[in-house]
Amino acid sequence: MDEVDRIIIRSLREIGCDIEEQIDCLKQFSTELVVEAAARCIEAIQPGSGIPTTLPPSMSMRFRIGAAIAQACTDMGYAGEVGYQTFLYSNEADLRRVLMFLIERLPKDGQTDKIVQEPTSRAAKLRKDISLTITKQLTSPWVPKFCREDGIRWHEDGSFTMEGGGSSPFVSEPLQTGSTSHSCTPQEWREYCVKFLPLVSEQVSAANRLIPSLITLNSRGILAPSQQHSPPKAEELRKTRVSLLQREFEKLASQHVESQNAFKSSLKVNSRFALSERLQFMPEKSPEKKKMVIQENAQTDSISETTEERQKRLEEEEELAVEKIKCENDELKDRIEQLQLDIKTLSAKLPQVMEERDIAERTMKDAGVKEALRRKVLDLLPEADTNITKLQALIEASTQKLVKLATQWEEHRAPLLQQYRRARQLNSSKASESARTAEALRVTREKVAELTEEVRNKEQLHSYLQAEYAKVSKDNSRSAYTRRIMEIIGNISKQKDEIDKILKDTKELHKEINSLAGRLDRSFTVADEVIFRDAKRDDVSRRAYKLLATLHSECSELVKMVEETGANVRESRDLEDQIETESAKKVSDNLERISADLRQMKQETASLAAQLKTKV
Amino acid sequence: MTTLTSGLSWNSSKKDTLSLLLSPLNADDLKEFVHRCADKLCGRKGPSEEKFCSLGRWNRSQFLEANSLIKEFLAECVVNDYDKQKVEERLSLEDSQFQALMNCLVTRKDELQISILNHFNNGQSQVLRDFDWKLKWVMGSSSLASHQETLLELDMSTVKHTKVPMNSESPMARISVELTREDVLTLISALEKARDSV
Repeated sequence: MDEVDRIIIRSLREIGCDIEEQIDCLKQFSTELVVEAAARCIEAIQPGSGIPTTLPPSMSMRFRIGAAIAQACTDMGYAGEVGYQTFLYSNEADLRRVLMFLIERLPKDGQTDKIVQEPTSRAAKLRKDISLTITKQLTSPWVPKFCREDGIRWHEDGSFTMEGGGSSPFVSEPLQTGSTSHSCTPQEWREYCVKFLPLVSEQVSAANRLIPSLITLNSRGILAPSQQHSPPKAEELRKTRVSLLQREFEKLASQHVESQNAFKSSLKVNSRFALSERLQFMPEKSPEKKKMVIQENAQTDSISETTEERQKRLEEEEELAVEKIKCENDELKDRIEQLQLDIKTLSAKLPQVMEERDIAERTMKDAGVKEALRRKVLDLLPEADTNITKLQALIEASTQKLVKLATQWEEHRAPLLQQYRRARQLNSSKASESARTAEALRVTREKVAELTEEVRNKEQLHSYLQAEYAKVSKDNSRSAYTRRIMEIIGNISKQKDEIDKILKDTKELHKEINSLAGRLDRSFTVADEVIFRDAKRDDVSRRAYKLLATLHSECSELVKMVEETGANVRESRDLEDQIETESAKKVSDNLERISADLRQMKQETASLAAQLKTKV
Repeated sequence: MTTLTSGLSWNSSKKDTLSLLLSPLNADDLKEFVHRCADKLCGRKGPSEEKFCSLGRWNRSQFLEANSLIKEFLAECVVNDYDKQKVEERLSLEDSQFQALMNCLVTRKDELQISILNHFNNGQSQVLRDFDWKLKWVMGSSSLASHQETLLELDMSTVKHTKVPMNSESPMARISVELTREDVLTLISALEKARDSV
């Protein structure tokens, strides 16, 4: 039972019970500890059961907690009898049974699971958030663009996510980069640029408008030279301004009429008057100016009449010359083109011609050689016979010389050839040897690689196993437990052997008893018959028979008595056992505690009743 | 409209307030302030409230008043094309203040003219100011599993100029459309036709 208790206590410590070091069996458990242990077990098996782990001072609350724990146990399928008394007035055996049941039900890797579930580091939290956001975005349906202003999408739960990028709108502002102005002197403009023109990045009213503004400025700069609409000149501006002012005046006038209907204001009349005056004046001014300009132009025309005629003639002449030069130019161009074409065709022909020349040169050389031979033969022709013999002698001499040379060559050649062969053999043997060594080297290298690989694997395995070992060695009590379990199993088997032996003994004894009883019966019947036969005739025999009968009955009685004693002894042993178990249940203690609790409860009730009364 | 009317009826009380308001600023700061007001008229960032409130010892309302008075006056001068003499007639400022105003007017006249003209030219209608585009590749739709079409998303920022262009921000609006290839071609040809007719 000690071992079981120790295992139970260790498991309880693992799930977080605060059990003191000196407690090593269930007998030493206080009521608070029992309740805490049971509550923690239930919490570990069914998270969220909400049973408090500490006992409150109030008696009724204590009973309620006990009942709740008992209910949880029965709900989990505990077959035995369980109630609040099991925990509040615990006896060792019941408690052990209940705790063993609960510990069996504990989740196997409870602690490691807990560690995985709780994201502790910031990175893990971030990762979790990211995955949550992504799943949210993936599960939410698509919405058209105008449903998410500035790329922000609102979800049902009030959160928002960015979707579709490009959150800031493209809004530009006209930037001033200090290009020259027309209406002022360069000095003034320079002063303005140096002193008062802020940097481009500070000109915009919001930071997200800077890039759009720059893009717009740049594209305007690219477009400006190609576009006909150059920035309005002062003259143009003035014209448009006149029309503009007229329009403004009309609007103003209409507004004025309206306001006149409402109330007459001297200020408005004044303003209208001033405006109309100026407007009447200004349009008149500009046509006058134009007229003046036209008149001036006319005057200058009349003065330069004669010079114009001369100029005209000169221009005509010039035009003619230009026409001529143009014609010449065209012709020259045509010629150039033609010549270029010729060059092309000729350069294409060039390689072919070169090839032809090469062939011709070769044939010429051959012909030269042939011709020299023929000339020699023709020189020899006049004295043909002598020449022929001379030639034959020459040929013979040369053949003899050739043969001599061949023999000489052979003489030299044979040893050299032998030497060469020997060398080659040596070489080949050396080569084969080197090949063999190379092969061996290769094999060893492979082996080395293999071995290093193996070593690495082994090292990995070693480190892995070491890590595993480090992990395992923390839990060294496990091996102790297994050892103990093995010991217990050994003990049990030894005990079983003994029990078997005893059983055999008893069986033998039974058999012996039976055989003895049979023999007794048989000898008795034989003796009975013998003495009964004699008893009819003999008086002594009759007495002997009587004695035999009494002896028999007495003996059987004795045997019965012995059996009864045995039974009684067994019964008394049983009873003693029962007494022991009953005394283990600490009934009197528990009774005292229960009566004390009852008293306390009565007091509580009384105080509550008193409170009620005072309130009423 | 009020710009013009107020400009035309530029009365003595306003002159005095302006002169008084601008008095705490020294010559350079005043020039800077006037230039920033001109910047605002041109559609850029205006004077920084924080900076000039501390320089001119103004509170917020005073700052806004000085700002709007300067802007009104600049607009009036530019619209009516006043020369130095006429400006002098209409304003009774200290010499340095007058110098600052004139300096700004002379240097910034072109820019101001263009921007004010833009305001008036466009009248009361919505005017395109900027556009932005994105190209999208549509993979599929609710009815077609694989659609495979290009779409051009065109974002147009339009502005509607207020009656009082100088003093308040014109409201911006965004028009966003998605165009297929044919739509884009139609739009471009329509725009080209419009440009040719102008």
